[in-house]
Amino acid sequence: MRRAKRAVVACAAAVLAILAMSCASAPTVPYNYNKPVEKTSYADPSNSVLVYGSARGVDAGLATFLTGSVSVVGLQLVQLNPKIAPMVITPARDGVYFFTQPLPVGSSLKFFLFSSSTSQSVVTYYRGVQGQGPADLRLTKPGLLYLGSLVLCDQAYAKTHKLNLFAADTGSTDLYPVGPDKEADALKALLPKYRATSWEPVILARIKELTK
Amino acid sequence: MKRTKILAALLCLALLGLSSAGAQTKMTKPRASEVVIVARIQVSPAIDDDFFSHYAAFETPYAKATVDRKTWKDGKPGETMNLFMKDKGIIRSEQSVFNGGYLSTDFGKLGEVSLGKMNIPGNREIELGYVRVYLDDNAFFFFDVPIERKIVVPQGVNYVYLGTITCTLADEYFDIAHLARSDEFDGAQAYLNQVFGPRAQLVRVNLQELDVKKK
Repeated sequence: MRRAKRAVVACAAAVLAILAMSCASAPTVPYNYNKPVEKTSYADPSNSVLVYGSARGVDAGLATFLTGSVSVVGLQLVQLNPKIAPMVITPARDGVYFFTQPLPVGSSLKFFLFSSSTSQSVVTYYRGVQGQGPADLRLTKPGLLYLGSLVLCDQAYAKTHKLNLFAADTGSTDLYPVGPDKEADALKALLPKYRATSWEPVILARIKELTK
Repeated sequence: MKRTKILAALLCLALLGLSSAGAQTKMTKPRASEVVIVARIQVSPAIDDDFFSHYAAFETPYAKATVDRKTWKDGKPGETMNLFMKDKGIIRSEQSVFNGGYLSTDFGKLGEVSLGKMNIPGNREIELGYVRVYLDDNAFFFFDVPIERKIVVPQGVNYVYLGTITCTLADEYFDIAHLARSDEFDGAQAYLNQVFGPRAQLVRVNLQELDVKKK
């Protein structure tokens, strides 16, 4: 009887091992989004791009008063140029402001996911990789790149700054650079993270230029 | 004692059976009320599979690609597709998705002869919307190839052929520069016979412009 029990245990172990092996074959990823980029790799303003901006929801007066103010929480970019390393980029946030690590020149960025949040609900937009939206840019030259004060809205709001709840054009919902935030404030938000790097003088010079 | 051993062996087999139950089986023959749509979608320039395979298992607080679609029926990686139709209640697929008035069915892989099975509606008209291509089967990274045509399934027909649709991409953002349709009927028929047996007969159908008012 004991031997039989042992046989059962051995068989069960074998099955568990096979199951474990089948699970272990998941593909590995050569990068990690939340690991900071090594200082040595893209840290130089002469060969990489620091992308920054701000993102907020629509300010719609009475509607905003009823639903609570809308904020854009989840922002994710994907790098689409096959000649550059594949990257999923989650920008760092400070209030409405966001900024990325320095990214290699030649990258083609696309916001493939963003979500807006009110006190009641979170709406997430999965947009795929097709089409270049108003905030999706190719990084052509090194240095600072301001994406603008982005507002999550439809095309009609981007043009008129008026929200029409009854004729919302959800198909054109995107991040449009029509918001009120200032570039200098976005730079001040990211400056603490770039203190004592080769980026600090570039950032300070740009702030000075903007507040002149 | 012998019985216990046999029981143990049976238990093992049952467990193994369960673990492989997730694997996809081949498409079954359509019933008289069903139709299989046959087409081949190809993209030029070819998609850099190696590049997009790096996105296969990224994980962030907002998106987990590891919750993947698992529609690689042959186990080989590649671009999987879904065919989206503007219609109600015609899809018979466990993987159907509802998306803004469209319903979808599984549609094989990019570059290969694709099969999509669905019920034939009462008026035998099916409005095809677009084919969504998932890069490396990743649910987050997809682009759409527009079709926007209506087909009418003839009486007594269970396999219809749309043709080969070649989609030329303009840039790395998957903007579409050009769409072309060609005919590779013999190849599709051969593949169909391989899947459904020698009696399966493919029939060409006209792709009609969608009625704009109805849209």
